[in-house]
Amino acid sequence: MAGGAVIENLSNRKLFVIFAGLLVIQIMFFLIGAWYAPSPSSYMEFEMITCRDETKGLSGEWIHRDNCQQISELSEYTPSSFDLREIVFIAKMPHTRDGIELEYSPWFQFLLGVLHVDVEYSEHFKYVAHAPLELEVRMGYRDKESKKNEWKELVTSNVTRILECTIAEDEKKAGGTYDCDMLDLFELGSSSYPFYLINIRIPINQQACQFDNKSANCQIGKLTGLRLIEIHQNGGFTLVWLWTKTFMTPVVAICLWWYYNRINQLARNPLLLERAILLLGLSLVILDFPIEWISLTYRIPFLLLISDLRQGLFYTVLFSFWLIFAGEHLIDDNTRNNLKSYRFNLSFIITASLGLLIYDLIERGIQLYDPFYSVWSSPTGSQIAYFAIFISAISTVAYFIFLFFKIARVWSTIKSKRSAQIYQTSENRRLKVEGVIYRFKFLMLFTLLCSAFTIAAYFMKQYGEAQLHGDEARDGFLTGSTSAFFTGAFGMCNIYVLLLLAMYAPSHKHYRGASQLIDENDDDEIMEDPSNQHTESNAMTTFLKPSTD
Amino acid sequence: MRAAPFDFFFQSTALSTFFILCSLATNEIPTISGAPAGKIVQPPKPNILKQGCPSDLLHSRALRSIQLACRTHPATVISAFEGVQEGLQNCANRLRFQQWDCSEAGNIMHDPPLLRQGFRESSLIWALSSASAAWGVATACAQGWIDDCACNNQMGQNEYEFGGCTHGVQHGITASRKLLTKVGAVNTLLRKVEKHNLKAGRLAIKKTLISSCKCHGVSGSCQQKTCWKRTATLEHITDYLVEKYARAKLYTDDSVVKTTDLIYLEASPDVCKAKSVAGRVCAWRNETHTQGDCDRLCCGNGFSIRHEVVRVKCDCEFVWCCNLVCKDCIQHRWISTCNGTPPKSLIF
Repeated sequence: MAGGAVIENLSNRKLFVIFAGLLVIQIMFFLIGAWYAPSPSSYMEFEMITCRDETKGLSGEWIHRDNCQQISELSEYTPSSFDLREIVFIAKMPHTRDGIELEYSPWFQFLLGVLHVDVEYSEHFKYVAHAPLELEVRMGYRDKESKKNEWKELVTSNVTRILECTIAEDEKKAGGTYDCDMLDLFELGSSSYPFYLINIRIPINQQACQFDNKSANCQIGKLTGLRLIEIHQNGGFTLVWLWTKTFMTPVVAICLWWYYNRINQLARNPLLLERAILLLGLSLVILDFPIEWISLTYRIPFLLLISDLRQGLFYTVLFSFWLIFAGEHLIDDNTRNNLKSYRFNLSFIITASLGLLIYDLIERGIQLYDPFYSVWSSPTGSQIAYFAIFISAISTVAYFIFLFFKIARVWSTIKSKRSAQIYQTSENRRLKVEGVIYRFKFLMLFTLLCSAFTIAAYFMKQYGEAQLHGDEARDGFLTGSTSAFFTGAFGMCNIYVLLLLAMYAPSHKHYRGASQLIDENDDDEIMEDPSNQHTESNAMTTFLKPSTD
Repeated sequence: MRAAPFDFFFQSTALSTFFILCSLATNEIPTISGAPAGKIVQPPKPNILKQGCPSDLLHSRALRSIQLACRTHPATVISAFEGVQEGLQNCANRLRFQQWDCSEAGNIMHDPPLLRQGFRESSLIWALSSASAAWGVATACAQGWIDDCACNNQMGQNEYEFGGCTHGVQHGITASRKLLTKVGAVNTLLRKVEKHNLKAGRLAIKKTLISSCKCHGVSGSCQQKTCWKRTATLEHITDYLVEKYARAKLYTDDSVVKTTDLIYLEASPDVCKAKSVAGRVCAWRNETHTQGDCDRLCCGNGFSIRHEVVRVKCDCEFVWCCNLVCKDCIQHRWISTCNGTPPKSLIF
């Protein structure tokens, strides 16, 4: 049984016009990102100042630029305490530039901190691979109204990371430097305060080093400095992104409402496929809804987590829809229109989604309380994270294998259908089958096109950021190209779902004959029922319509 | 029972190696013969920057731009000056056992005599000073010592909110160009060579930039990638320029030169005739290492070897509670010094 969809009643000329219009809209999405938005994110580098704190942290005093007793050469410094807690690395964020004290803005949406450890080659300070590094990190903030050096406590944490460094052979001499990997330091889910101050100590427990030289900070080599890189989303990009979402949300919502009304006007229950499309549209509305406007007024650090969850929901529903769409087009399958028949395949998607959900909840959830948390910093966390990602990857691969298998079955079914004898003799049956084939081919091609564009946009983002980044590239047209791929992919995602809602809504041309639709297996009734002449006449008219356009 | 002493060496704690390094540092051979041993103690950086320019820079006659900048941006001038000093020190260390060793070259901001000639050595000093000044300012900007570092475009808080401030090292390079480029309409060949070498120094900073990227996004995936660049250490930049110095080219009017190459106008003077090498450290040796070539450095005047016995701390061990106990070890060193008497005429 097949309900007629809009796409079956469109002429090729109308379809071409629709596609051309959508292409223009897609290009407009791309150009909005290219012209109006700056690059999606920017950074600021802080070479941390090394200061001496005679109280060794016991006074609770903040060390900043103005009260810093600078240690100019760390390697030539003679410490007076046996655990080196008097050495403090300091960064005040953000810098003052052009004499103006810059401020962090809620438009930045998040603050990400990456730490780079500078290690110099030394025959005395032995660096050992996979060296445990433990940092005592203290992060303070200051409001705009506070006095200049009046810092409040934000979070204090003991941060454990693994320091991974390599060194070229020609660098193994005095003054040579190791090439160390970057370490994740912190992630704040919102940019809540205009100023931050970071104090970092690297204490060494001498007794523990004697007992077990794999203890923290025993094998990190000759440390010469710390370098902090702060990354945030550009406010201009946030502005364009939020307005794009604000514009698209009502469009998708109206289309969804229209689709829902069309389904409700049917005399029959909605098909599984129709319900899947409805759910896909609903998840897109949830994804598009510009809830981030709130973050500009209130400090809501978990919005980053909510955005992750919304994306996860959308992709879960999208993958499920693809599976159901392929399955529902196995024309002779008697298990159609039944969600239970997809239980086995859907379980892979659910498993993958749950795995990534667990990982994201652990990482971002705990970072709500401790921004310095990293799931990779503890053995248990690493195992859970590895397990979650591994299970998700396996499930995703299995899902795609089954999806391609089902698509292959559909194609072979289509071939066998066209060569079947009954296809040649029954005009009414051939029209129904042809409609099903047409729907399947259309969506398949459209999905492949959108997937190709999304993947290309992803790689262009990576290439653009890595290659075009430079001091002179700022003025070129390509500066905004990375943003263009963001808005382009966003636009394509919306256009895809909108086209599904429009094209696969029940056709109103079948409304009058809805109560007379007969199951396609009852061929004898078609021939014998006199009232069916009207139905056949409608089908004939529908078939002839494209030829006359 | 303890195993072989070799095993214990590798288990030394970081603190004990601190002390070892301090001991070694205090016994390091002087980089310049006759120079005072040890490092000059400097006041904390905030005080240096607040005092303003010293009088020699404030009244600099050769570079008028430095005079002007000392009144408007003294912190930038001081950072550039200190960068140049550090660059010269790196050069001296790097060329320690070469005939010309970068010593007595003088800071470019003091307009030394060497920079009034078009020698090969002048080209290195121009380029190294330009690079070191840029490095010094860029580093001070990254450390937050200077408040008037510029972003890539003139901006305030609104522009920062919109598109960020990716100043990178560009401000340091701009400051170096403005401070060290002489103004005026003099268009001699020497001036042209000077400008070329200064630019080569600034390009050396760009050529040695280190690029890094960070992936971030949903669940830490690479949904978005942010990249940045940072300067190499001044030692690396010095090595880069010393390599360029070794391959510097003689400049004539019809020369075709790359912007990254160093060029010079005159052949270098004979170092043996230009200045006295008397008392210069020409070689250094301990039980495991040997450095230097006295026959070449001493201009045939011969040299004398001084045997030194240095007491260093080794096998440091932490004793509970809070005591560091080290053994005293003996290390033998042989320092070779050039003989000879100074000649009567000096060019430098």
